Amino acid sequence: MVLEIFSKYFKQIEALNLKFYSIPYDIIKQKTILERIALYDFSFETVILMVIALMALIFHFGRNQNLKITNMIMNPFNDAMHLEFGNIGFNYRMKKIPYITEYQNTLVTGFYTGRKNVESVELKVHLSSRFNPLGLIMEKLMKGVFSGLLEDNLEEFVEITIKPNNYAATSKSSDGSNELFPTQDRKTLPKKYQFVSGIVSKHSMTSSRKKYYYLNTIPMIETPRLPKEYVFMTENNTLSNGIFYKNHQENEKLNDLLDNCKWFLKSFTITDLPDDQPILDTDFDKASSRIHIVTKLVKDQKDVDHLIQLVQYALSIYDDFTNGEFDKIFMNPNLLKKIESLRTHEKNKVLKIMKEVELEMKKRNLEVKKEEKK
Amino acid sequence: MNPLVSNIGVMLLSNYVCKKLDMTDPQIINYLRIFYVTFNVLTYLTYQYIKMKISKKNDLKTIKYQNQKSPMQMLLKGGASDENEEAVITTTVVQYDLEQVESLIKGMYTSWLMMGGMHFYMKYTQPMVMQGISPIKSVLEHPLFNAYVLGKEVERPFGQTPSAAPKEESKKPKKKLPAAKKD
Repeated sequence: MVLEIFSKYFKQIEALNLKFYSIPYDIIKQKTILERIALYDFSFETVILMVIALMALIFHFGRNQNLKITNMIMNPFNDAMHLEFGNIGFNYRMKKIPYITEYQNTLVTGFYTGRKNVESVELKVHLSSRFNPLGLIMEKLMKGVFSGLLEDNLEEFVEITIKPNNYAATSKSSDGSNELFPTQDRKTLPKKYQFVSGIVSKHSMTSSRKKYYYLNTIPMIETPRLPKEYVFMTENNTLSNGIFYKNHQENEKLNDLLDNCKWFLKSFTITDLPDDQPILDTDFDKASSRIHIVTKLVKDQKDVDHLIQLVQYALSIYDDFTNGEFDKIFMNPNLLKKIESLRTHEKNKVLKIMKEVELEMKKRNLEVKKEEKK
Repeated sequence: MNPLVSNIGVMLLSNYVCKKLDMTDPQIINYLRIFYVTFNVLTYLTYQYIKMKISKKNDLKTIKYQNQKSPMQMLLKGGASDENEEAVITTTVVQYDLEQVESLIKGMYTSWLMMGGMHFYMKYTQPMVMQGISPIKSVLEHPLFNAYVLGKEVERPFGQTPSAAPKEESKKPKKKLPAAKKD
């Protein structure tokens, strides 16, 4: 049936130039190029060219839209970070680039380093492919039909990762390596950086848990301290109250900030566990301490300003960490024991899966060998 | 009335109506089309109204419910349990209600597609009677209608048996530890 419809259209297209093709070759040969062009019906070719031009226009417009959003976020962010960091953006072929755009402006990365107590800040803006509206519609339709099976790639979000400079100056020099920030693992990472505690928006509790492994490992705690739109997701209430509310004091500044960010903030988590479920035990050990902020795509300048304030608050947390403000929290042996047991439990889970996979592989190899012998 | 009983009633009634009508008469077919479209549009608008009310109320009370697999997941994954998947889902009332109403609206799109295929391609007319009545009937019986249109208190999650809901922790007071003996 579909082929019938197509063949009908193809016949109609062919019929446009039946007159031209019916002229014998010898007569056509005698005509000049202009005469031949005048004889040929170019309506189909014109339509195709117009479609291509329209596609190019949409592509250009979509890319520019993404660039506009990027500049709306990145320019004020870079300006604010100039006051905090010594090094903004990237160096490429002796040129300074404020941010990198990839995949036709759908992934934008900003990088900031050179600040006391903080190793780096990485800002990632994930945008949808506005230059391909047909693809977006198809993806949306597919997501609607197979909602349980397909991942949501259409979601636009901002992701900020702040890594602390948690290496003591003495340990750097004694190590002997020339690396400025050597990769850490669970053994070298100081104990006071090994925990998961965060503030998560109630609207995105389930989706954040599904997406980020570190949130999946910890319980949710409701508290009247936070604005009603948020909950704590933390290993232990002592940690969240100690860090965000400086040992059960009022923190008006944080509450105001959270209230301002309630339209876009999804999660604000201090974590040492990986984002994705680790497959290998080495992946589990490799994870480093960081503050991971995830927000919806900020729409206006006011929201960008609030996002900057949120990042500045996150930076202040690491200042307090280095100044030893939270050292008291980590002197509780029960808390340390609980933190340790969660990590051991999670690592055992990974090891169990690894063993199961290994056994399965061995079984398969044996089966293959048996078949080869036969 | 039990929805199952009323569904059988609707089915019998629609069968009776279909027998009484001349389904070959183009005028009757047109009337049936108008009937089907009117009731479906009415149902769709009711769902949209409920959706608007949910967002407006923005009830941030947290609820917990047992994670239930969709039929498609059961079909493709054979119902095998995924260790990473949460057994108990914690969410807010607004989020839960929006999910419910979205799935109902999605169900309507599927039903329209099926009905379109049956009526325009396979030339069936009878299902339009049943498909005209049942969506409006199910919207009137749905807990979301009771909650947001009639203003009644409803318990969430909807339609889960008490055994499926996550067990609350025992509220029994813990036994006191024996007092330390004094010398």
